[in-house]
Amino acid sequence: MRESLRISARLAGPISLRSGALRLDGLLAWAVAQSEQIPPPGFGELAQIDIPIAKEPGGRFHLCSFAAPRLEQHELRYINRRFPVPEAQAIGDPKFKRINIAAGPTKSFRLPSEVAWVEHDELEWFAIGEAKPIRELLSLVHYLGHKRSVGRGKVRQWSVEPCEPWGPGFPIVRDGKPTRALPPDWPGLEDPELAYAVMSFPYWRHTAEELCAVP
Amino acid sequence: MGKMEQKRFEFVLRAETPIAHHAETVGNQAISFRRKVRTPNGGWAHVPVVTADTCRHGLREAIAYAFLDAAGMLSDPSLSEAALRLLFAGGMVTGRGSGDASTVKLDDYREMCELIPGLALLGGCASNRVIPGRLMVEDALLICNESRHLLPTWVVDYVEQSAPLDTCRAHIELEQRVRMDPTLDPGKRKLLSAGAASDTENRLLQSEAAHDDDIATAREATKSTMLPRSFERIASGSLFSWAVEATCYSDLDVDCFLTMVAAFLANAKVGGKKGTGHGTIKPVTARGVVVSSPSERLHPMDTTELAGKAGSLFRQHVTERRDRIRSFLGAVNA
Repeated sequence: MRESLRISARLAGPISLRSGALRLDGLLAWAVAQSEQIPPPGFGELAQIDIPIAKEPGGRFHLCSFAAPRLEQHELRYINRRFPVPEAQAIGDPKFKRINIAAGPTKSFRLPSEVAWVEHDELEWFAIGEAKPIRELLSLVHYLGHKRSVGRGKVRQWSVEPCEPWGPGFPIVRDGKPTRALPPDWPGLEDPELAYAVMSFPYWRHTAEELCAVP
Repeated sequence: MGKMEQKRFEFVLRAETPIAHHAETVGNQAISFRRKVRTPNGGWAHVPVVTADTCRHGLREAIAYAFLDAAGMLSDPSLSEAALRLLFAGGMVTGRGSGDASTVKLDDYREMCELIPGLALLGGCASNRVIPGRLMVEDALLICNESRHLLPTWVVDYVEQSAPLDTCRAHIELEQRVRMDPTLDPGKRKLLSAGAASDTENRLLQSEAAHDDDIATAREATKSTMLPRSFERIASGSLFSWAVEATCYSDLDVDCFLTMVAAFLANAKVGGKKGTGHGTIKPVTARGVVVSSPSERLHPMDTTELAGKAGSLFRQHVTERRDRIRSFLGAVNA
């Protein structure tokens, strides 16, 4: 049964958000891809993924908001990448004679990467969908944002609860402002900020960007 | 298609020797890695850690050596630059693709995951594509007063059985070392050639004169190469809380994950100054949990038993495919 939902993630620490927003539909699509072993993008054709969130009547996007949290503290970290020089000396092909760590493919890097603490350690989304399957899919998501592989954006607890809609526009327009990327002429919007954005997952697909009203 | 299972292991690690794991150097002083943590009263603290990147690299290196050993490639060095980068640093997107670079064939991807099971878990870049990993590694967080609220309950219970926690500051010690200048030792100066001995004597005389005359520029120009420096290190015996999690789809995935963790922890060295007795960590106790199982229940795990059981399936899988692995690594573009 589809209902109005408030979904929240309680974080255990800082998170890296490259775009400043975290998309619930993208998260659920990732969880479906993981559980059904859909190959990663770029290997074969892009798969169609169904998620338990309602779509707008035109079918262009799902009825769920983005989490655009307020960040209260930041920390700068670094990602180091080094070519495995000792291994090259020990088990590399004898024909492999030169390693240049200052330029080219064997160059070493030290890349800055920021993490931030979300206000009250909580991310919040609103959606129209089915609570039980959403809860099951989100139970597979233990880390959020960028660099999850090194423990950033660790989720302590998920909560998926029915809620009262705030009125017309729920859950994608609130007080005349979009809570997710929307077509600029979407009903209920009042003088929204416009920018090029992707309307539905996968959100990394920059070739699909179009002019949208953005949060 | 195998059943999806998310396996999580939580460890208490002990520093058997001091840990010199440095984030940066300020002047002549090396500063330990720390993580900012929010304390329950709303304040902030900086707690020493062994970074997740370090632990993850240790896991990658451990499974790469286990893989090469099983494939019989350790005794016969033949890895190309691309193969080395793929196995030990996760590869890189080279911008080169074979044929149509916009899509890599699904069969190629499956073959890659079949031939290098560790790559399927850790992720990396190959054939002009980024392969997302399925392994999440956390920072090994120092167990102390400031990090207490972030630790799993069982870790706090386990540690507080023996002694109360202390502050993070109490775990850090400041060490000083000096790189000696051999030319200051008259005995060693006797080993110099005639020309070098004369140059050294002259420099020492000029240095003495510069000090007597108190001329800063002359002192700087004639100073010895002696280098005192200091560094922070985490005291031996300190305890860390560490967790690692993998999404597994098959028995091979599970065995590869166990092999990786067991091989890393069997001889884990982290940070710098390993040549002078720093960086050894050992697991003290652990808990394993299968997150997606209906009976989400922590159960104790014997870390020595883990090492004993792990690896047979992984080894057999790699050994059976060693010829294909050799030809794959010989041609890989990563």
